[in-house]
Amino acid sequence: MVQEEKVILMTRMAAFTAREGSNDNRINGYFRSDYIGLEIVKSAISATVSFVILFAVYAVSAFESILEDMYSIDLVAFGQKVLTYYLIWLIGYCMVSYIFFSRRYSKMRKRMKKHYNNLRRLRKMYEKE
Amino acid sequence: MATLLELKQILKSYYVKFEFYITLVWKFFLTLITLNVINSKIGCQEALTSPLIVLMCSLLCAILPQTFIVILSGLFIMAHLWALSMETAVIALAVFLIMYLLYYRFSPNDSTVLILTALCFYLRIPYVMPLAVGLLGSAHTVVSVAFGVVVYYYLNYIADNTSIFISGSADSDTSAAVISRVQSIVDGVFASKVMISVIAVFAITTIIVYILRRLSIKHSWDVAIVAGTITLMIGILVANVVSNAGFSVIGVILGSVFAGLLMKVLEFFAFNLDYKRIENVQFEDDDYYYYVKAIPKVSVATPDRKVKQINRATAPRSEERTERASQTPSRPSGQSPRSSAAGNAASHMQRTRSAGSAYARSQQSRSRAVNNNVTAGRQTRNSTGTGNQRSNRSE
Repeated sequence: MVQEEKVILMTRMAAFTAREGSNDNRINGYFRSDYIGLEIVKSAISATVSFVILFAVYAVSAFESILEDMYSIDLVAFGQKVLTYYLIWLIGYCMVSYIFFSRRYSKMRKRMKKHYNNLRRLRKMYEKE
Repeated sequence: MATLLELKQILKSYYVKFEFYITLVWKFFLTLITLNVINSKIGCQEALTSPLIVLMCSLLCAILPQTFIVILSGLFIMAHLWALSMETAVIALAVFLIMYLLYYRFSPNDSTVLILTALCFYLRIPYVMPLAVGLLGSAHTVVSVAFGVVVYYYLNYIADNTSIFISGSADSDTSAAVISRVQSIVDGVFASKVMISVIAVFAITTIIVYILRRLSIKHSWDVAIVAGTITLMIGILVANVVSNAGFSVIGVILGSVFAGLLMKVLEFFAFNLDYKRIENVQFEDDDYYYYVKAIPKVSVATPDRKVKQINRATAPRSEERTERASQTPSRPSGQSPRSSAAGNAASHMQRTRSAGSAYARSQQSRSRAVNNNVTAGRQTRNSTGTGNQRSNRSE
């Protein structure tokens, strides 16, 4: 016999699983610190790659002036300047990532708690049968 | 206004009903328009300009998730630019990579805004996007609008200066020529004051509209639209002076006002938006496989039709007559006073159309239930038999 209440509950849960559920399940496999840490590492790599691309484009576009100043500029000071920009870029991007992924993890936990409550209700329904 | 609201409800109900097909159609047309614009602007790879290829790609993107529209458009752009010159393609790849690494890694669904922003520029309605994103999107979508502006200005620059980038002459492949072309792109696009000022104005407008729209004040959407339109107008005019962009003042004013009016239309359809998706899910338990289609409820306000009874004087008499007939002792067999009263109630309900349909339905089902109970009680004293059969049938 098909129970209406059970079907509604199962439909809601299936809809959740089809949408956010799979991704949420993946995130839920991590502890909060592990997940955020991993994402920050990925963000650091992204920030580094994007900085390299931007610097390369700048270097090619300003190639002539760099060549002209090659022997006159202080390379150590230039390197320090580039490194400072890179660190600012990296830290800023990682901070934004930290805020974003912390919020994402908290939201995921709320959704998963709701999902687990639904699972518990469903189990009770089966136990009653 | 009531007619418009009714139209909105009807459109909403149609959208909910045919949501799957509507999504396919808009994705198809968005891809078709985007690819055609790309081909018309920088169509250097002749194989991709074939209408058949464009049509097939559009059909493919209609089925695939919307992120694929951006991926396919990016591939088209890359292919055309590669045919034009290597350095334009490499810079486009760098731009797309930076966009992905910095933003779309977090929010891949916003990529449609990028395409729409660039498309709006080509359709001569660029001021629509910052207002629309501020009204419908979130604050961080402003990044997507900014990337859309960058893509437009990049492609526009390449399209306007194709002759510089055509490779073929003897000295075009020397490193000096390549570097000079890269320099011209960087100076012409990324260091362009016009592009930077447009991005700044769009970003400020989007954020202002977003903040005002979220305020808990009366007519917050209207206030946001008006404030956004004025900000846009003033911002673009100031940018025009600062960066010598050469925008037409009348064009800016008319374009902003037009965008504001379009937002009013958008507000009408999107305010208190509750278009939910139809859920097609399948699951199983120990006993059954379930294939469920869950359709969100939509309350369509039907017009309030009042039936004016011209022969009013005779109507109560007929009702009285039926009541009297039901109370007479010589009533037909198998008809109880309670059931006939319920029947009268049901027939009366059918006559009066002014009542809401849901209410009437619930009342009818209630009266039907009364009828069934009476019949069940009369036919058998053992309530389990009929009751169980009925419940089985309903299941």
